[in-house]
Amino acid sequence: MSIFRVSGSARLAGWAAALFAVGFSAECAAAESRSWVVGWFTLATYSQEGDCSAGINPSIYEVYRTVLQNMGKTPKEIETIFSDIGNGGPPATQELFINRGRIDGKPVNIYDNPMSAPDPKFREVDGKYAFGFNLDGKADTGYEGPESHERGVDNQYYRALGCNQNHRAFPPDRPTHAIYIWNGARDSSPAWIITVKGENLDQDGEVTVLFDRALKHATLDATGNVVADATFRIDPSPRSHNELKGRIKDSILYIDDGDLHLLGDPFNYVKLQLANTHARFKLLPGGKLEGILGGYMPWMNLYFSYSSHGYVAEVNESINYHGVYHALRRLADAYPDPKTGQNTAISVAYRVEAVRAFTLPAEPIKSADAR
Amino acid sequence: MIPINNIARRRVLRGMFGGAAVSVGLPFLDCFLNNNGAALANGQEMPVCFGTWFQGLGFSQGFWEPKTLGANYEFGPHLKALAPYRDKINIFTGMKVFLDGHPLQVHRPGPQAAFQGGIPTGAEPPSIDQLIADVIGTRARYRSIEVSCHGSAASFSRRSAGSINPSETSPVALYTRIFGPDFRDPNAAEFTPDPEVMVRRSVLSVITDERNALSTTLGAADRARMDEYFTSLRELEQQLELQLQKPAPLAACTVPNKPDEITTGTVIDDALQTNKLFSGLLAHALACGQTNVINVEFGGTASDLRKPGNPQTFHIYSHEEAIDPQLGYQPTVAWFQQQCVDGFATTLKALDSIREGDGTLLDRVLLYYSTDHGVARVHGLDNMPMMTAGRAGNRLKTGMHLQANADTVTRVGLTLQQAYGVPVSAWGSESNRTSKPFTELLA
Amino acid sequence: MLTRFTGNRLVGGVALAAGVALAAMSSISVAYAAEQAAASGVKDVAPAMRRISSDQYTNIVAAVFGPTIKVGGRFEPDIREGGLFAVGASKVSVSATGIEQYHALARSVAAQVVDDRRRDTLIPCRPASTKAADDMCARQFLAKTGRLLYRRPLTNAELEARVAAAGASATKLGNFYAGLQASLTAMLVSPQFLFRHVALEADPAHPGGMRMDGYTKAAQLSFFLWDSAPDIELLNAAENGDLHTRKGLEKQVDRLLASRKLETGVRALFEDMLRFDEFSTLAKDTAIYPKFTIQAVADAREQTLRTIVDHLLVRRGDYRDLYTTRHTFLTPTLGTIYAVPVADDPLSANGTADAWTPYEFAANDPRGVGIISQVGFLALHSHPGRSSPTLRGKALREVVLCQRVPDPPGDVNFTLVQNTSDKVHRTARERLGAHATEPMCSGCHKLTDPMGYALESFDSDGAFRSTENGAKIDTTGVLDGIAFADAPGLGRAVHDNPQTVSCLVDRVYAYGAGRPIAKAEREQTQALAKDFAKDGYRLPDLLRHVATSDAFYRVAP
Repeated sequence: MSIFRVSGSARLAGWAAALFAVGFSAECAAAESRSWVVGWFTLATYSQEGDCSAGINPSIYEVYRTVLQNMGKTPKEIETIFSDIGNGGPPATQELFINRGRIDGKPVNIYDNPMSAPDPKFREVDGKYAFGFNLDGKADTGYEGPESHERGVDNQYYRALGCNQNHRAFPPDRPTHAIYIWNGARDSSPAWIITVKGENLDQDGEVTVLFDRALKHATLDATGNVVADATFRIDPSPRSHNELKGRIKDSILYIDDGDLHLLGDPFNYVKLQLANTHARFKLLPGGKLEGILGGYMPWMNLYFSYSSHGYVAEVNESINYHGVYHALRRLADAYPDPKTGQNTAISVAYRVEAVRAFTLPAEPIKSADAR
Repeated sequence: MIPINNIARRRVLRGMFGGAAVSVGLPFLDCFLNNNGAALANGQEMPVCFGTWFQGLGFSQGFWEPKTLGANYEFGPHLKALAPYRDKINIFTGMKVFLDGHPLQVHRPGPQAAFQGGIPTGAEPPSIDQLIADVIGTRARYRSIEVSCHGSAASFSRRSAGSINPSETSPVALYTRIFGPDFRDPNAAEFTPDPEVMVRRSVLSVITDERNALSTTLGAADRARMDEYFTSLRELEQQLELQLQKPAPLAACTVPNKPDEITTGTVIDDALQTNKLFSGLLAHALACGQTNVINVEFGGTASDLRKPGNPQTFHIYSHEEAIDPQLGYQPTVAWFQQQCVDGFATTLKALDSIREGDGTLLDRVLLYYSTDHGVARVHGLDNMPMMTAGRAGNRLKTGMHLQANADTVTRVGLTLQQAYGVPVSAWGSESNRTSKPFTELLA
Repeated sequence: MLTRFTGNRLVGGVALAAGVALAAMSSISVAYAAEQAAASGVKDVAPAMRRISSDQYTNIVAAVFGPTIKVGGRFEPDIREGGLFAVGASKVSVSATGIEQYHALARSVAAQVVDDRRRDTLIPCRPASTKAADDMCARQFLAKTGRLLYRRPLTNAELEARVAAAGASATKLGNFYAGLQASLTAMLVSPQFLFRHVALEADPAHPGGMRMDGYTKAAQLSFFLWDSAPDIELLNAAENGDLHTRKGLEKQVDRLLASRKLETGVRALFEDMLRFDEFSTLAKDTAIYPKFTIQAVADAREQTLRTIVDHLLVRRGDYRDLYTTRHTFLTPTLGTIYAVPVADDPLSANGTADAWTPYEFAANDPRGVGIISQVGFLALHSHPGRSSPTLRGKALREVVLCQRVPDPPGDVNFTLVQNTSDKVHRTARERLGAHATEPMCSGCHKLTDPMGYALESFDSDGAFRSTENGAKIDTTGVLDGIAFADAPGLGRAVHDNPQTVSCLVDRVYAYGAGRPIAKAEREQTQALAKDFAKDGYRLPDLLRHVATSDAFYRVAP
């Protein structure tokens, strides 16, 4: 894990500098500022028939069946075990699957020790299209952007996991896994706020794009979407404050580089951490912001967002977490560890949908006496 | 989408009284007129009963909802099995559970909101069946009976966090509990009037005794209003008097045959068979006045029902299975859902096949159907399927499709509590609290 | 004792034995007197008995037994007469279903009063044995509680009947408290509690004439100002005869006006006058107005009530400024509809989340035009899927100016008005303009629409807009000859309209008296309006004038 790790003090210094910059630019330059709250943040998929030429990955019970076969169980024993599981089963049965790793011949927890069993080799998305950005500058490695028609789009996360059933969807549908991960995060974690500052946001030009975390979660409207025009106080902590350069052209907001670091919730998105951040957000009439955010993400962060859920979620999501680890590790495409040469980051792309919001600076909590 | 723009206003049901006083119509007037087949010629009402029926993982969106509002609706294609009971079923679309920023504890907020009026936050208020049992269940042998068709003793029925009513999982055990050696034929049993009701009745005479004195001091218009008050009071006294008499014989009460031992568990065929036996036993238990409140859990929350020989559950299919682009839904999931609908129809059939007077047992029972998710695939809490089946002694209108605009599911529960006479004007917590019953069903 | 009506308009001696009266004192019902008066050719009727409202029931239970007693249930619906439920209360009775509900409610309240946690504080004595009757203790409790619930002392016969009922019940159930509970239940179902009776007595100031007795005056006063029954101090003033003296009456009126309970009373007055019961059935098509959640409905109602209480009581503001004030209160939910920043401010003084923030709109902001530019008024008087200049104009005329707008004929074709996606008639003004060319419709629309157009800058959910279907909205309008360009202009026109003031005075008077204003009382209300103007249109002063006026307690107008 080597990318953009900055020491605490350096971060704080950066924060102070950023504060100064904001204060300064607010007085002199930024004539206009608009904010949005992120309403949807989901894996950007573009699943089409035939884009997994080797087929869809097996369901979790097919995986477990193989695990039991490899342990030497007879078909009859396997049926008994499955019947037990179907009826709630004794914990010992579950442990067969949880502890399917082997170290020195002894069973170990596969989620904690993903290298203790061989790579189950997920099937990969080998179709033509994927959302994302050409992060490495090479036009001949990667997909074609389905809307931008950019060549060399790097999205190895999608390549790695996009042949699992619940990671598949064609827009405007969103993949199941991403929906329920986001639903959980959205309703329980502080909201993510995007603020754009510039001379005139209705015209083309350079802008500053802030990514922040609010002090409270987003609320929903009567249709179940994040409500527009709500007010958020911004978390003053530097851990989730980002200031990136951007540009607006023909009502599209672009970000072409920069680091991004937003805390999430411990269960679903530990944190959103991107290097070489790219964005292509449409600024729609009526105030919505919609588009793709991409960059390189430490793939271990991604793995933890799966494996921390453990066995029950592995079963319920029907995706082999052990396979997730190996696929991410194998297909990671940036920031090699200087010692081992293993890439520590993987190219990703997310679909972002946001509605207008108001922001206010954080205020100290009022005491009873203050009223 | 048809907007709800014809919200029923309160209507004056009765006209001018004596040219001066106006009595404004109230809900469930009909049940006192006893024109419903649930009351007998001598004026004694049959007990009104309540039940819940729960299934996890809801229905396929777009395939269960009726296309028209109000009466004479047609069920969506996946609910066709319920068509024979349509006129006794109210179906609600556009209902929602609000999370208020609390974490989505998947599968739990749905049933908790339907049963207890709020999402899990640590508070464990009594479940709706127990609130209603406080009104209709106290004099029966069992305050309520809980069954589960999938082998688990889980239940949503509770008085508090620490007092959950566990489900019976074996039909044979339920048979023994109700119709075993301790069973007493309700028609042969001796009747002892409830001393509390006697007291309730007798203290009202304090008021009636004042009638003459009061009336002589009033003008004509006020006298007419007082007359109406005392007519109403007399009806209340008569109701209480009826409760002090030996109840009408439960003519439909018969002791069923003892069921055979069967395999129970999560295999769908076992669950269907268990449900069928339970439904028959519960129908007899209601017909024999052994309880007035039942709770049926067909499949649990995050349903663990499955096909034989396959450990992959209904729940896992709901997350994993792709939507068939031709069909527009998840085919295996829809298959499971329709097994559940068949199960619900089986329960309704068991209640509807017991004849009582001009009607059936289902006319004095109401089952409250709920589930855990609107769109199970994504743990969605929008458009939660809700139904009521049965006429509850005509305490509310039936055969209606009501569409809410993303209102909390607790509106249905509040409506039912008010229909059963629970003294409550608002129910639920946080955004799932409501004081808006479906007045169009009550009025 | 014989009494006789001889007021200047009530002629012809009507003699009655007042001793038959149920209420203590030598009282007869005013309604009976009125009937006699009617028989002698006088048309105006005096106040009849009034059924207490659900809010009054709740307020009384809270005042007598404490706010922790839960009061829930479906009350009998009220009816509105002359624009007010307070007047309709003189017409309603109790239906069979209603009494079942009152009975269930009474049992629930009584059970809470005697339960283990409360009995020692709410019952002033301990029985000799909890398992048997104890008449002395029961009498003590029932006499004290009965006086508060019936708003007068119980007669000996009434009290003894209730003590006997409690005793018999306690013996039957083997429980003193169960007996008390039964007797209290009957008290709460009794028409003496559920209806406000009017008791008369001879008026020494007008020999041979009648007046309300002290207890009836006390109730008239407390229901008017507190929306609740008299407290002990007020009952004592009635008992002492203080309320029959100007000084004694003024002292009590001032005490009631200074109490925090005045806010409850003022809220009840405006909820009734502004028809806020309609909030209980207010809903929008959320596909069009996704921000209009149940929470938004609740907040919109509370916003207007808060504005009223703040402006009229806290600031002692000019009533007319209620239609122009830029001050209000917002919640984060309302903030999304107004599209202005309102944060959840972390903690209130008592440590709970306080959703309300004071808010002041800029001068000439159309959203800051008093209560008629608030989400509550705008959304109540709109259709579920579109705004309505007609409904808003009608509400302004009927609710704010006390005028009557005829209902539309039954056979009107509304297709043109309802089609909000009409490519030709893009705004409501254009659609209504086309519709109102039909002579059958134009008469009424002329009454309502020209003032409603000024509020077209607000959508059905109350959100501000400057265009509809891409067309710029024309907000010019006219009210009774005064032309204006926009909502702030309408606010000023309402502010300056003399009927705005006379309407309030009439409503306040009718609300307190529980009957429509009789012709003979016009002079009285005009005088009140004059005093109101002289005092700078301060509501508390108007309430004081009404509550201390002789006419307010007069037997017949």
